[in-house]
Amino acid sequence: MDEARRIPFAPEDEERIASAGMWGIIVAVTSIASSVLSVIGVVVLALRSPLGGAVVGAALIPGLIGLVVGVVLAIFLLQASLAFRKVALTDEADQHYMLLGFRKLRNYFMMMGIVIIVAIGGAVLLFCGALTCGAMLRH
Amino acid sequence: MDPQNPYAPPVETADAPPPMVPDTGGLTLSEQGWETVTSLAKWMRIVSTFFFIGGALMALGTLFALVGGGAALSRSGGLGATGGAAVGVGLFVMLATTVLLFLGGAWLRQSAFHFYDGVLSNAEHALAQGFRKLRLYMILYGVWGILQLIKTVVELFTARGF
Repeated sequence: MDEARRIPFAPEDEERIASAGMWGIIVAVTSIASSVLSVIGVVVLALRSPLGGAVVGAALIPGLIGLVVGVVLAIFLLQASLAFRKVALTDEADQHYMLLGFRKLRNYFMMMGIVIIVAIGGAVLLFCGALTCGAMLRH
Repeated sequence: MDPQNPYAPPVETADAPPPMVPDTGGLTLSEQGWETVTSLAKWMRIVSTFFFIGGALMALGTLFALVGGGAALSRSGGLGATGGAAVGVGLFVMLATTVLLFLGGAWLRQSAFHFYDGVLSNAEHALAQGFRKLRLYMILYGVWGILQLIKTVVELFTARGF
C-alpha cells in the first residue's frame, strides 16, 4: 500500500476539512478546560465545607475519573483533528494522515460509546439498587 | 511502424514500456486501513444511536414538563414573572438539548455513511461529504463546549465565591 499518496480533494473541500480539524481542536480544548475547571470547583466547594477532608476525598474521586476520561477523549480528538488539518494543509502523505486521523477518531468514538454504555449500566444499577432499598425499607 | 505508411500508429511490442498513466491520487487501503474505516463507521453509528435515544428521552421530558408543569401552574395560580421566566429558560434549554442531540446524531450518522462510502468506492467527493458532515457536528459541539466553558467559569466565580 502506498500510504504517501495524495488525495485530490477540491480546494473548497480542503478548506472544509481544515475547518473540521479546527473545530475539533476547539471541542478538545474546551472539553479539557471545562473538566479541569469543574474539578477545581469541586475541590474549592469541598474545602469550604465544614466536614473538610472527608468531603474532598468523596467529591474528588468521581471528579478525577471524569477528568481523566475527558482528557483522554480530548487527546484522541486533538490528534485526529491535527491529522485532518495536515491532510488539508499539506500536499504530501495525504492518505497516511487521513488514516491516522480516522484511527484516532475511531478511538475517540469507541471510548465515547463505551463511556456511554458504562454510564447507562451504572444508572440502571443505581436505579435497581434504589428500588430494592425502597422495598426493603417499606417491609 | 509500417515502412509503406509513415502515418500508421506505432505497433506495440512485448518489450515496449507500459503506457504512461497519470497518477490521479485516490485511496489504496491496506487490510488494516479497511478495518479502521469500518470500525470508525460502526462506532460513529453506535454513538449516533445513543444521541437519538437521548434526544427522544429529552423530547419526552420536555413534553412532560410542558404538560405537567402547565397543569400544576394552573392549579397553583401561577409562579409570577420571575418564576415564569425561570421555567421558560429551563424549557428552552431542554428543547435546545433535544435539537442538539438529534442534529448531532444525524450529522454523525451521515458522516459515517459518507466515510465508508468514500473508502468503498474510492471517491474523494464522498469522503469530502463525510468531512462536511463531521465539520457541522464539530461546530455544533464546539459552540456547545464554549457555552459550557463560560457556564463553568461563571459558576466558579459566582456561586463558589472565587
